[in-house]
Amino acid sequence: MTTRIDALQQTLAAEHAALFVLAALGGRASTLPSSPMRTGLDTAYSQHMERRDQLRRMITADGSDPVAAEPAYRLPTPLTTGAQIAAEALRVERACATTYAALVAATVGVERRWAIDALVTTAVGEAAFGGRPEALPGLATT
Amino acid sequence: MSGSPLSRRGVLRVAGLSGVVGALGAGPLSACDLDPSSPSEPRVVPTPDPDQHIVESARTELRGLIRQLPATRETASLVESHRQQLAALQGEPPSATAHRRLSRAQVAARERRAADRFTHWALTAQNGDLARVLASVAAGIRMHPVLREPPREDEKAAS
Repeated sequence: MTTRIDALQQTLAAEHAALFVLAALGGRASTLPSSPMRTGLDTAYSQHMERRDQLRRMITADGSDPVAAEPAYRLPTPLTTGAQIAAEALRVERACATTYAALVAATVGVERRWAIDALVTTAVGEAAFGGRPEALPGLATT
Repeated sequence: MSGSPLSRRGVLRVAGLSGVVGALGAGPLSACDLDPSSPSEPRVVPTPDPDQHIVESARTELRGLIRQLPATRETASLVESHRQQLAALQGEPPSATAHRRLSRAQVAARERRAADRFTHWALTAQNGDLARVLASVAAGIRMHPVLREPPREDEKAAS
C-alpha cells in the first residue's frame, strides 16, 4: 500500500520530470509559428512549476526531505514538428494525470482536494495538445 | 489511449475498486445463515460500508445523466463516457432514455453540477481507491467540450 508521503514524493518526482520535458518542448516549439499548442506549453509549465513547489512544501511540512530532480531525463526523438511536440506534451500530461489520481487515493482532506483539482486541471489541459475527452482520465485501463 | 474503449475489468483492477464495490454488493444475510443446524461458530456479520451511499448516489447520478441527455451527435460521446463511468462503478445502465429537449446550456449546467458532485464524493469517500475513481469521473466530465467551450449568446439566455 502506498503511504501518503510515498505518494507525495512520487508525484513530486513526476513533476520534476514533467518540468524538464516541458521546458525542452517549449524551447523546441519557440522556433515554430505561434499556436494554441505553444500557449498550452507555457500554461502547462507554469502550472507544473506551481504544483512542484506546493508538493515540496507539503513534504517539508511533514518533516521529510523532498525528492530531488534527476540531472536529466530522456527525450524522445525526433522532436521537431508541432505534432511531435504536442504528442510528447500530451504523454507528459497523461502521465501526470495518472500520478495525481494515485495521489487522490493516498490522501485525505485538504491534500486530497488539491490532488483532485490537479487531476482535473491536468486532464482538461490535455486538449491543448490534441487530447480527446476520456471517460476516466488518470486511470490506466490495461 | 484517448478515445479507445475502456476495459471495465481493467479499470476496476487498476483502481482496486472491484473489492470495494463487490463488498457493497453483499446483501443482508440469507436464510441459510440462520439455519440452526449450521455449525455454531461465530457468525461474521459484514460491517456496513461507510461509502455505500456514495457509490449508490454516483450510480444514480450517472444513470440520470444518461437517461436525460438529448440524442445529438455532440452528446453521443458524453453518453458513451457516462456509460463507461457507470460500468467502472459496476452500475447497470438505464433501460430507457428520455431524450429530452435540452439546450446546450442546460446540458452544460447538468454536467457541471454532476462534476461538482463527483468532486464532493471523491473528497468525502473513505476508501482511497473509490475516491480515485470518483475524481477521475469528475475530471472526465470536465474534459468534455460542452464544459470547456463558452456558451453561445443565445444559449446563455436559455439557461
